[in-house]
Formats: sequence, C-alpha cells, structure tokens
Amino acid sequence: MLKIGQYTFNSRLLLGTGKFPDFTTQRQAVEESETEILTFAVRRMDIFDQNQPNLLEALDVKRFTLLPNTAGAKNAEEAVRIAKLAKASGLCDMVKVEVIGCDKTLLPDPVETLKASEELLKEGFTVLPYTSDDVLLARRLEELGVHAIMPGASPIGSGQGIINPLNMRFIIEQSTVPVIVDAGIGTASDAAQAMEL
Amino acid sequence: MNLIINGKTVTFGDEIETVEHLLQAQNLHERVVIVELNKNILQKEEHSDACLKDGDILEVVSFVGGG
Repeated sequence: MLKIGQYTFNSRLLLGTGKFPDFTTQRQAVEESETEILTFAVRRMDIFDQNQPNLLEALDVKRFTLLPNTAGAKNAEEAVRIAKLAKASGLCDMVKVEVIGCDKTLLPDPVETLKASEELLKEGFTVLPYTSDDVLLARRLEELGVHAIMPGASPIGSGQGIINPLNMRFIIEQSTVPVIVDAGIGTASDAAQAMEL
Repeated sequence: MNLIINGKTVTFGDEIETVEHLLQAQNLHERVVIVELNKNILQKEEHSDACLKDGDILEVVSFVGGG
C-alpha cells in the first residue's frame, strides 16, 4: 500500500502520460499497468483547433488520481500559479512541484522548490516536490509538511540511473513520507535498484 | 470586442458576453479547459458569471502528456 496525504493506493506505480505514439497505445498501457496515479502537465491550448486531442478525455479519469506537474515554472510564483490552474479543473488537488532552475541540466531550483511547496501546503494541496538528491533539502521539505519526496536519480532525460545511491539511501532512511525516485531512470534495473535501496 | 487569448489578439462579436459563451463558441465547454481571466483563475462554475469586455486578457490551458 502507498499512502500519500489523504490518498491510499494499492499500486506503487505512477505512470507518465507523455511520449506515447497514440491514444490507443496509451490507453492500453494505462490498463495493463494497473496504475492508479497518472501524471501530466499543464499547457496553453489553441482554442481554435477543436480537433486537439486531450489525453484525459481518452481515459476514464474518475478511476485515477491525477498528478499534474508544474513543469515550465522557473520560480515559486509560476509553480504556484500552474498548480492552481490544474486544481481549477476540479479534477485534482495533488501536485508535483517542479521548478527547473537550469535550462542546461534541468536540475530543480532548491530555494524556489521550498518556497512553492510551503505556499501550496498553505493552500491545502497535497504536495510532492521534485527535488535533487540533497539529503538536507529533502529533510527541510519534509519538515514543511510535504506529502512525499521526489528526488531525482539523475538529471531529467539523462537516463543515467541513480548516480548517488548513498544520498538516496539517506533520504529514504530519514523520511517518514513516501520517497518516489523520479527522473534519470534509464532502465528497468535502475528502477529495481531504487526499490531495493 | 478584442480579447487577448494566450498572447494573441482575437476579435469576437457582441454575442460573446461571458467566458462560458466563449468556450461554447469554440466548442470547448465540455472539455477539460481551465481559464484565467485578467490573472484571476476561474473555477468551472464561475465561467457563466465571468463577463468579458474589450481588452480582457485570458489564458486558456489544458492538460498535456507529462511526467
């Protein structure tokens, strides 16, 4: 069982919704995975293109807990705004706080991530911050009251796996909330290693 | 009436009085769409009361694939 804030899940798998070749494949993948949590992003839409596909409309979203991220935010203010936009859909109150501080490495900005998490907790969100593998930062986030910690194994998209397993183990050992290793997982064995830490 | 939607100026007729009218006109009223009007994020139930006027700035967003 996985417990995040007020939510309880039988599956510990969170499934991303990007990079599927088409909606049919995505729908089948979602079904087969038996995931209960789907992640997605918030973006401007073209209101004149009525044929724009919407991934959520291809799924029975009531069966899932939706986890929007704040991708695109470069500071706390932008992250809070994106989270509030997502919540205004009426479909979710959980948010993955993602504040990218460096375009080259895509590493998270620790200061802005802390600020955004604090503000969103005050607003009543269920908060899951994407963070680096810094042990003390993870502790500070937990002290704020976040509902899970999402440390990156390595930079987003790098596929390098867990580059600092010792730090990751320290984070897991000290945490009383779920630790969800996020970003940089390149292979199934990387995922297995994360679960064994 | 000129509205600035997602950074672009768009002209609409007088029949578009509210955000709900706008979404209906674009056939988006039953889709997952979130609207911010002049920096104020609207809840879905507020769309019908949110009156539009010339020069209003709207952000219209939706959900896309992500991780």
